[in-house]
Amino acid sequence: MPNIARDQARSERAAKFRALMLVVPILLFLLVVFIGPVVKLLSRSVDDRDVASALPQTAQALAEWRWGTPLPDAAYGAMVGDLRAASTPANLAPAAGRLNYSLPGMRALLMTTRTKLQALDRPEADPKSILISLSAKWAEPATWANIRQAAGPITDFYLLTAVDLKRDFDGSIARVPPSQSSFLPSIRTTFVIAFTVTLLAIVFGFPFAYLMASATERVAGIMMFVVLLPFLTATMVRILAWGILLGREGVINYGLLSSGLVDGPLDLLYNRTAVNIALLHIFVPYMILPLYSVMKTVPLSHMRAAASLGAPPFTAFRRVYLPQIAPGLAAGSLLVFIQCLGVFVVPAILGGAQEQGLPSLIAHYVNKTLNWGLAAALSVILLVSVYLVYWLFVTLTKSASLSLGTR
Amino acid sequence: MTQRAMTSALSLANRAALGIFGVMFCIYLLGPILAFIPMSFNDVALLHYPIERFSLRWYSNLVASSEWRLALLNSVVVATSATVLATILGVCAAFGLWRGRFRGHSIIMVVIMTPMIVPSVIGAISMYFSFAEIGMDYTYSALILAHTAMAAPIVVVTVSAVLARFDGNLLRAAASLGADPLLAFRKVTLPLIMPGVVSGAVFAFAISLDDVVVALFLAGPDQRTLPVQMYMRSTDLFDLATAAAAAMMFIVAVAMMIFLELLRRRDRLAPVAKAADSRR
Amino acid sequence: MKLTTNKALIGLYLAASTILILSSPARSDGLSLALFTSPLGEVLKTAAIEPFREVTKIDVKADNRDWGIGAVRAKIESDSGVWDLVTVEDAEAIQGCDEGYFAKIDKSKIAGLEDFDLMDDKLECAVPFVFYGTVLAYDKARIGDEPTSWADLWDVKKWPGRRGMNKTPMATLELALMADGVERDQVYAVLATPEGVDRAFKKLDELKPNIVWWQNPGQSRQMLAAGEIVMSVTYDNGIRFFNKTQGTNFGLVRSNTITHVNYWALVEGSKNVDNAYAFLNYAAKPEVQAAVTNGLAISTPNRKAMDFVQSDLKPFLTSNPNNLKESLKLDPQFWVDNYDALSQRFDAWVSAG
Repeated sequence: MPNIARDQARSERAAKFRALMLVVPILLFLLVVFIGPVVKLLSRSVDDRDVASALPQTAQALAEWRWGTPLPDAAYGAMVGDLRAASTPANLAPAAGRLNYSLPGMRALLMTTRTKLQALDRPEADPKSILISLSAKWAEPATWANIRQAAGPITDFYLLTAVDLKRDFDGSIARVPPSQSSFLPSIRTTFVIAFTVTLLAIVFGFPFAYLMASATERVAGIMMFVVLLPFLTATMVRILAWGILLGREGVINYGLLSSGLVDGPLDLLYNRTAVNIALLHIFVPYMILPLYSVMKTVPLSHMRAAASLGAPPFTAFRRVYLPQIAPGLAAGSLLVFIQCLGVFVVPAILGGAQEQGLPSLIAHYVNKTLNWGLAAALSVILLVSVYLVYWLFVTLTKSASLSLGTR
Repeated sequence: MTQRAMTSALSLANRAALGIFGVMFCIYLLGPILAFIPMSFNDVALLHYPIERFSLRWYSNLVASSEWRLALLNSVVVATSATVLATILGVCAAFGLWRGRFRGHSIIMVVIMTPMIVPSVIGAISMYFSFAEIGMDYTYSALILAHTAMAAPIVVVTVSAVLARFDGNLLRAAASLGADPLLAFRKVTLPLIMPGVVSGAVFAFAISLDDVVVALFLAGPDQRTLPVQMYMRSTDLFDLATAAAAAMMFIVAVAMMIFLELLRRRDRLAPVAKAADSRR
Repeated sequence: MKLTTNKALIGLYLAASTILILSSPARSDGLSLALFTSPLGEVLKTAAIEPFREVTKIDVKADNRDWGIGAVRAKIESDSGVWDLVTVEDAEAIQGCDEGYFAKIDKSKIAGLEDFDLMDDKLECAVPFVFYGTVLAYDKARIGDEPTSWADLWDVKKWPGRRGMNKTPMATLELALMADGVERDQVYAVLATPEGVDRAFKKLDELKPNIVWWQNPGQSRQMLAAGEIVMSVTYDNGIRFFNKTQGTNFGLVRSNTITHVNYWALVEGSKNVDNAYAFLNYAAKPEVQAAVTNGLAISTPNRKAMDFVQSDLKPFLTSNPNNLKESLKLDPQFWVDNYDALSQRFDAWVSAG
C-alpha cells in the first residue's frame, strides 16, 4: 500500500514537473525579450555613472566637499587631468550631456575646455587659474556642485525631475518654478483622459451590453458583429477615419452645414474632444465584451423577482443586478483605463499639444531630447500607475487574468 | 390595471429609447470606418466629401509603390511568424497551467500578462534599447520576437478559457487506454480546444497587425510594417494611397471576423459548456 | 512513454533557442543613408542617390530619420553601424560633433567645397547641402487679405481661425520676438537674456489658444490644404513643392524669414567611409546640387550650381539676394547652448492647459 501511495505521489510530481516544463518556455521568453528589457529601462532612471567614469579624479576630489565650504584646490587639477585624459570628445559626451541636464551650459563648458586644454602646453602647472581663464564658469561653485551631485553611482535626479522637483545644491528638495515645470501637467492630462474615456465607456458601453444581453439571439449576433468588426480593424485605420470625419471639410461638418445647424465649419480636430471620441471608439469594445459576458449569465428573472417584492427599479438594479455584473464592470474599466494611460498614436494624430500625455513625453525624451534617464523616470511613473490599477483589479476580482470573456 | 398599463407604457418608452440608443451607437461604431473606406475610391487627391469621381488610381498607386508593397509584405511576414510563435508558446503554457494547478498560479499569470499590462511605449523603448545593445535592432527577428511577446498572453487567455471547460477525465481515460501524454494531447485535447487555439491565434495576428508603436521603434527601413507606413504618411505626405491601404486592412478585419464566427459555430465544446450552464 | 514527452519538450526548447539565436541579416558593403522625411528625402533619392547608385554600383540604402537624432546616438552606442551618412540640422551637426557621434570630415577629400559660399558655417563634422527658410504661409484660395509679417500671424481679428506652428522653440521664439517688434539683427541679443525669453513666451501666450502645433512640415501643408488652419509657420521650399505637386495655391511672407542649413554628417565608426566620401563628392557636384534645388525649390549653398537652376525658380529661392537680405540666420550655437533649458520650458508651456 505505501508503495502505491509513493508511486502515485511520484507520478504526480512527475506530471507536475512536466506541466511546469510547458510553462517555463513562455516565462523564459518573456523574461528575456520583454520583462528584462523593461526592468533595465527602469533602472536607467536611477543610474548615474557617466560622470564618475568620465571624470574619475574630479569625482574623487569632490567627494568630501560640501556646499558652502571652500572648494578643495585638488578639484581643479583633477578636472584638468580628467579632461586631458579624454582622448576623443566621445569619451566625454555622456558625462557632458548628463551635466547639461541639471545645469544648462555644462556641455559646452566641458567640451570647449577640453579642446582648449589640448592646445595648451603644461596646464597642470596652475590648473586653477588656467581653468578660470578659459571660462569664468569654473570659478562658480554651482559648476562644481553640479558635478558632485552627478557623481553617482545612483541618483534621484531624474525621478525628482519627472515630478517637477529638484535637489538644491545644499541637498534639500525644492519645487521647480512653475515656468519650468513640465511634467505634472502632462501626468494630469494622462489621467484626466483615462478617467474620462473610462467613464464614457461605462456610460455608453453599459446600456449597449445590456441591450445585447437582453436581445434575441439574432439581434445580439448582429450587435456583436458591430462591436467586433471595428475591434478587429487596425487602430491606425480607425484613427485616420476619425481624422477625416472630424475635419473642417469632413463628413460631420458637411452634415452640420448642409442641415443648417451651424453657419461655418467647426474646429473638431486637434483638441480634447477629438481624442476622447476616438479613444472611446477604440476602447469601448473592451468594456462591452466583458460586461456582455457577465450580463448573459445573470437571469433577468432576478430583477423581476426583486421588483415583484416591491423594490423600486433603481434599488433592484443597485442591490441585485449590479453586484452580479461587478466583475465584468471591473474588468472592462481596468482594460479601458490602463490602455488609455498608454495611448500614444491617438493624441499624436488627433490631439492638440494639451492632449500629449506621458507616453508622448517618454517618446519625446527618447528620440528628440535624448534624455534617456528622464524617459526612464517618466516610464517608472507611468508603470507604477498602471500596476496600481492592475493590483486594485486583482485584489477586487481575485483574478490575475485579463479576459474579454467573449466566449 | 391602469398602473400596470402605465408601467408597461413607460417601459415601452424606455425600451424604445434604449433601442434608438443602440442603433445610434452601432452607427458610431461602424460609421467612421464605412465612411472612410469609400474615400480610397475618390479620384481627387484631397480628402473632400462628397466624392466627385470614382477611380481605382490610389489602389494602383499602392501596388506600384515599392514602399507600400514592402510594408504589406513585412506586415504579413511579421504577423504570421509572431502568430505561430505566440500560439506555440501560449498553448503550451495554458495547457501546463491547466495540468499543473501550481500554487503560484496567479503569480505566473501576472508574469505572463506583463506585455498586456505594460503600456506599449514602455515596452517599445525597452526592447528597442535592449535589441540595439546586441545589435539586433532594425531586424526582422527583433520585430517578430517583440510581437510574439506582445501577442502570447492573449493566446494563454483564450486557450485557458477553453481548457476551463475541458473535462480532465478524458485524458485519464486516454492514459488508461495506453496513450502517452503527448498522444493524448494531440488526439484528445487539441481537437477539443482547437477553436480556442485558433481564435487565440487570430487575436495574436490582430495584435501584431495592429501595432504601430513597437514597430515604430524596432523596425528599420527594411522592416517597416503597414501600420507604421500609414502612421508616417499620415503625419507627412498624406495621400489617398493611405486610405487604400486602410481599405485593405479593413478587408483583413472582415476576414478575421468571418473566421472567428465560423469557429464559434464549430466549437465542439459548446454543447458541454451549455450543459454545464444549464446545470447551474 | 515518458521518453516521447521529454523528446517533444527538448524539441520545443531547441526550436525556441534556434529562433532566439536567429541572427540579423548582415548588411552588405554599401552605404546607408538616413534622410529627412519626404519630400526632401524623396528628391534626394531621385536627384542624388539613384544616379549615384547607377554610376558607382554601390548598394545605397536610404532610410527616413524622422524619429530624431536619438536613433543615431543609439546606433553609435550599440555600434551596429546601421547608418553611415545622416542628414542633420545645423544645431544637431554641432552637438553631434561636440559629443563625438559624428566624425570629423576631411574636407580636402571633397572636390568643389570652396564653391559652397552661399551659406556654410564651416562645421567640422558636416558638409552643407541645402538651406531654406521658416516663413508664414497661407492658402490664397481661402484667405481674404494676404498677411505680410509675423505680426499678422497674431492678428486673430483680421484673420480668425487657427494657426499652425512648429512644435519646437527653435525659430518659434525668434519669430515671436520679431512679431513683438524686435529688429531682426537684435533677436539673439534679446533672446540671450532671461527677460528676452520671457518676452517671447509672453508674446506666444497671446496666440496660444489659436495654435495647432505640428511636428512634421508635411502636417502644416496638409492642414492648410484641408482648411484646418488659416495660416501656418512652415518651410518655404515645401510650399512651392506642394503647390506644384498638389495643385494648391499657397502664398508666403518673405519678410524676416528665418533660414536653416541642412548638412550631411558622417556617423562616427561608419564602416563604409570610402563610400561615404564618394557619395559626398557626388552630392556636392553643381549638377546634382542643382537637381535637388530644381526638384524642391530648396536652396543650394553651391554658387556654381546656380548655373543649372531653372531661371523661373531663382526669384523664389531662399538664396535669392532679395530674399536673403530680409532674412535672419538661425544661430545654431545659441541653440546648442540653450536647447535643453529652453525646450524644457517650451514643452512645459505647450502642454500646460
